[in-house]
Amino acid sequence: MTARARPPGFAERLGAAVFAPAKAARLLCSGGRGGWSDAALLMLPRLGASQPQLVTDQLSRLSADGPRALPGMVLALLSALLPDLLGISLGAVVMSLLLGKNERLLPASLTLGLCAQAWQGWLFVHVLSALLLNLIHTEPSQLLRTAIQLAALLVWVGYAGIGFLAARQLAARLARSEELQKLQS
Amino acid sequence: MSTELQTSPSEPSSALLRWCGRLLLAALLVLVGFNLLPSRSNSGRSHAKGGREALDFSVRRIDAAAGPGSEFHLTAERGHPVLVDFWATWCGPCKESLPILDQVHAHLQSQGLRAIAVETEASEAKARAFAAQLKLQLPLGVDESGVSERYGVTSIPYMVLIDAEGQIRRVFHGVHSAAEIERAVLAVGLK
Repeated sequence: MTARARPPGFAERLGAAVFAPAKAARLLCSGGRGGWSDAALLMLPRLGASQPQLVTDQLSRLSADGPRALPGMVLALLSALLPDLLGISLGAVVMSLLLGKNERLLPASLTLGLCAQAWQGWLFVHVLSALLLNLIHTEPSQLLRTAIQLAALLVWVGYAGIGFLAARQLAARLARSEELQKLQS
Repeated sequence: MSTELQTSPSEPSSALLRWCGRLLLAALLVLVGFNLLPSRSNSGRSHAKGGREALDFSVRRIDAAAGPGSEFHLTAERGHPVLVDFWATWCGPCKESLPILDQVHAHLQSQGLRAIAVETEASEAKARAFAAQLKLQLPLGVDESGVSERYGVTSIPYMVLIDAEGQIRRVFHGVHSAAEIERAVLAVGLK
C-alpha cells in the first residue's frame, strides 16, 4: 500500500513562493493550487500592514454608516490595491507576449498566477523589513525606504522571470507533445 | 499533471518551506497588529484618550485673508481642535472635499474649530487659482517643508483631526460628508 503525497498547503506554498520561487513556479505550472488565489488571500492583510489608517477609517465608516458604506469601502480598498493589481496584470501580459504562440498551450491564467506568486516575494520583502524596523524602533530614512522599495521590486521582477522560465519550459514541452501527436495521427 | 512539490537536492524540503510559510504569515499578522491596533484606538469615533501626538509644523499662508508672510503654526492653535487637510490642484476628489471642509470650518469656526488646507505641491499660483475657483474661505497653506511626508500622506484627500491637546484623533481618507466630519469634531470636543 502506498501513501499518496498530499498537495502542499497554503503555508508551504507561501514558503516556496518566497524562499524557493523556482519550486513554487514548477508547482503552479504542474497544475497546483496557489498563485492568484494565495495572493488574493494576502491582499487584505497587506493593506492592514501598509495602510492601517485607511483600513481603520473604512471600518469606522462601515460601523457608523452601516451597509451603505460598503460600496465606498470596497472601492477605497481596491483603489489602494490598484498598484499591486496593475503590476500583476501587466506582468502577466508581458509574460504572455514573451511566451509567443506557445502561450495558447498553457493553462488559462497561468501567467497571472505566476506574476501573483512573484508579487508575494515583493510583499514579504516589505513585511520583513517593516517588521524589523518596528522591532528596533527605527524610522527609516528616505534612502533606506528607497532601497527597500527597489529591493522588493527587484525580487518581484526576478521571481516573475523565474516563473517565466518555468512557463516557457512547460509551453515547449506541451508544443513538443502536440507535434508528436500530430505526427502519430 | 502532478501537484506535488518536486524537490531537487539544492532546494529546501517541504517541511522547511511549510515552517517558513508559517513564519511569514506570523510576521505579516504581527505587523498588521503593530500597525492596526494603535491606529484603531486613534480612529476618531471612539472618545478614548491616548491618540498619537501630532507633529508640530508651520506653513506659509496663501489665502486672501492672510497678510504677507503670514504663517499657520500648529502649536499656536493648541486649545482648539484643528483639521489639517492635505490636497493638490491635480487631485479630482479634492475639488469635492475642500468645499466640504470649507463648509465645516465656516459652521464651527465660531465654536473654536481651526482648519488649514495644505497644498502639497507648493505651487502657490495654481493653489490660489484653484481656491478662487472653488470660492474657498478657509485658511490655505503651501507645504514647502515636507509636512505631508512627515504626516505619512500617501494619497489625497487626507485630512487629520487633531484635538485641543494636540493628539491626532482621526485621519480621513478620501471624501467624507460634512455631517460626518462635524460629528468627529464634536466628538473630540470644541473649545
